[in-house]
Amino acid sequence: MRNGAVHLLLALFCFALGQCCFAIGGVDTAPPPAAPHPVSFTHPQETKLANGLRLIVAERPSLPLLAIELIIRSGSEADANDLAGTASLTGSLLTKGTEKMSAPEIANSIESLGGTIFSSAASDNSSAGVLVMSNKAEPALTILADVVLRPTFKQEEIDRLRKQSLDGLRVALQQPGSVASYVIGRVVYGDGEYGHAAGGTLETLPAIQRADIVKFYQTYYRPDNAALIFSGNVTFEQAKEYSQRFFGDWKPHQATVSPISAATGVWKPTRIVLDMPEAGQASVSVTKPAIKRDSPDYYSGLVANAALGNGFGSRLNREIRIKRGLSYGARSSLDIRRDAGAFTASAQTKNESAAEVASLLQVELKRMKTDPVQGDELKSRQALLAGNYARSLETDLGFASQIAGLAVFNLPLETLDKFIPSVNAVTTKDVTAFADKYLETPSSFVIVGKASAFLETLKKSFSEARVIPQSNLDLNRADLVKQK
Amino acid sequence: MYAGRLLFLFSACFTLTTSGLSREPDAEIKKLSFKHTTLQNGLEIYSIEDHSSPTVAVQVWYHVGSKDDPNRRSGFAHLFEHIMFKGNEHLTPETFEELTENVGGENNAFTAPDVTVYHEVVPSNYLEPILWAEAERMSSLALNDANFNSERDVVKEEYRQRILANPYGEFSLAIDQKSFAAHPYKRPSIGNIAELDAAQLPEVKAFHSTFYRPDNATLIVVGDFKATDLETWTKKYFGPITRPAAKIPRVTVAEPPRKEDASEVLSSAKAPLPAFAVTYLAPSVRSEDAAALDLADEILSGGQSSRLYQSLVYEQQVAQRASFSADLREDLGLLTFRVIVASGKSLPEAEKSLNDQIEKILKNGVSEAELDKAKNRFLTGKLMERETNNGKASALGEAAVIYRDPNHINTDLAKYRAVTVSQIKDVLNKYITGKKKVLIEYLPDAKREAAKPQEAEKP
Repeated sequence: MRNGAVHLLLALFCFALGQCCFAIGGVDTAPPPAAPHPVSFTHPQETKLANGLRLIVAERPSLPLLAIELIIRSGSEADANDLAGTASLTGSLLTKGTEKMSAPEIANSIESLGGTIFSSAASDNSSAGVLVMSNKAEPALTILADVVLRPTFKQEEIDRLRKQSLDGLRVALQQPGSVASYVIGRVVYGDGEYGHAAGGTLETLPAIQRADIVKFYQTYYRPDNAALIFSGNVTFEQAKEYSQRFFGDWKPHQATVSPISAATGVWKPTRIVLDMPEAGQASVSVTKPAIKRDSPDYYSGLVANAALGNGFGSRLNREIRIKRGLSYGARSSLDIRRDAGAFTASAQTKNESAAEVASLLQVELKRMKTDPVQGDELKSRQALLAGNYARSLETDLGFASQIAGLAVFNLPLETLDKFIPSVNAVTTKDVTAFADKYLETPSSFVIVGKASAFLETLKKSFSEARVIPQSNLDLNRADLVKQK
Repeated sequence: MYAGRLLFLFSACFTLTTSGLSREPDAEIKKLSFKHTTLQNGLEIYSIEDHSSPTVAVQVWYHVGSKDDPNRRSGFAHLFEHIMFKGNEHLTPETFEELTENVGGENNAFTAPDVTVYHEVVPSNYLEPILWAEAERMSSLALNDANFNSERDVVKEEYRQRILANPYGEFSLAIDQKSFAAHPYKRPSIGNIAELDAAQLPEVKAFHSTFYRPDNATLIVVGDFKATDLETWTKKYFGPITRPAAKIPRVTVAEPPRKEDASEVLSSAKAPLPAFAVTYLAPSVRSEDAAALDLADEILSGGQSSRLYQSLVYEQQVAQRASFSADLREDLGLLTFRVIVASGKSLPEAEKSLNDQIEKILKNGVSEAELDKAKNRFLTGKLMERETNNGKASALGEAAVIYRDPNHINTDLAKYRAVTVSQIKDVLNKYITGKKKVLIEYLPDAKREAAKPQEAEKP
């Protein structure tokens, strides 16, 4: 039977905390935890429409809310480098006008229902969705289907959105943290399909023509390259009827086009200082290519990354924040895409301590291999990942977004249930092997900040750092430097 | 008495009836049954049993916020919040991580102008240990200089990250600083580097004994627990904490009415676009006018169909961002209009557009459809808040501590539903028409402006 909830009796909350602080007795010591209660969550169901649209439904009847999200399995990786931002503009423009409704009418009609509509694109995917009270499902679906199937991409709307995007980008380019994320994309992915900025640059956004947007839409927005996700107070039967009624007539514009395959180019470690003389803080990152979504190292990567840089108790936070007070928060992340991926460890710190933080990040990466993640540390990061995962499934939008994360990569729904057991199955040996293969090897670093405050110190440890003045930064090029 | 194992067993139903065009059946939102007890030492405890997931949200709301920062110690209440994680003779600096994220939970805290809130979500079998730990840090802190100094450095990095690394960080700080003349709300929660540096360890201890006491705290527990267990544990761990004899000091400074309009011009080396804010003094969050002001906030700036987005951002394209907030606090509040000017447009152009919109809503009021929309959005937001134990705990804490009416979580919907279009117009006129405004302009440095390259964009 495919209905109902799957109960996962998990080792999730079961481990005791070792010898550190729990003695038996009075109120001066922490009482021990009780036996854990089982975790369960809804098991979604799926089917496919005749036009190839994958439909996935998570029945979550506890509150009268409903999230509906449509994902397209193509995004910014399909943009040409000199037209970076095409997927993003296309996604955002869906809600800016259809044959029947203007942009203000779309916003007003969904918001009058008390709902929200959103549409955007990132790497590997584009998406559009609504969140509404479940008794407003039909009017909300009418709007969602209209914006997905019948967008008009009026020139006036393109110009307006382009201008807004450029202004948003100008603000982002004054923040060390967001500048760093643009630079990291280039440092890891070079001139490959993932290298250009998903949202476009100051140079590419003005170059995008309406024809580019229409072409992107007609090529990739097609039922056989999409999935429709319902999460909330709806039954599978009702959702099937809705999707047939609202999306059953959706036909592709042209013959099958497979999602683009992203190459990563040749990577070699580099050290970049992006000099922003007015920066109020420095953003310091260590980064390198890592795993793609279907890598066999996926779960060991998640656990290794969590030990290094997820949560207050992670190694980076213990060393950089708690022990030395050098940052409000240090973290690491895996950017896992269809055909490639990146690992990044980062912290923001006062300009004067940028070099020290860069060294600390490198030391901690190396230590992942020499000082293995084991015992309580390993268990604690497995529990953290499982707990974060369980909490991400608490809301209708959160559940929809976990499903979307699978649908984007064409993964089976069983992957949802595998997450916690797979994380818990990761061993010290797996984490060490991951560290050996991906973390211990040479990294690139990217420091964005006021170079005069740290360059001298930095050069003592890393003589070959390349300094790029803010005014010379060119995000359109793999070498990041404007050509004279 | 408590409500029993099923959360909604004794629930009533509210329905939202709208006078607009909506003909779908009205959404139901169920009443939350909470239990309230007060310990002998004055600790207020509110709880909701809900076994739908094996987690519990625990929050401790202390009725002390950045408005209670000691003199010349702006940012102290927030610094203190950080120190609360650093342990005592029974707690190590790692205890909260060990009892939360290391077992699949999470923890954090925030400092607001009126309150400081410590919150955790834990697997339900960890409820007893986390209650013990919260009781421990309520009863005492034992600090050393090393912990204190490193945590102060963390807070200074937080200041740099939020304020200095953000091109509009100093603009945001200036709004409270320039808008309040006398009330300590003028001091930003995050403080400033000099006053953070001046803080001393003995002041931390004094702050704890002054404000961190059971009769100044409210414990909220929502999720998978048995009421009898909760009663036993709260008595066991919080019960022995003594209630000090001294009176809790309260801010008594009254903000004087504004006598004239004021304006401030700030310049920024980082801001790529000019920005400005216009503020008016507003009433307490407990005022009768609060519901109508909240709905006015929604009508003016909630979503892309809101008035300010439609006029300033969409139609006229004079603003990169435009918002209004009815920022109501315990003692009084601010009505704040905030605009980041779009490139190629001037600040005076954007200011005129904003003034036109303000004038229009004051003169003509709002439509029934706009008000219905705002009420529907409020209802959806309330449902979303109900999706998690933590969301329900936050709502209950806010109701009990900020609104001083825990039942506010169940009565607010009726209050909002009762607001009429004429009330919206009336409250906006009450606090804006004939009142004095503060204007804060935030301009990119002239020298950077001059060096700016020509606009690259073309269609």
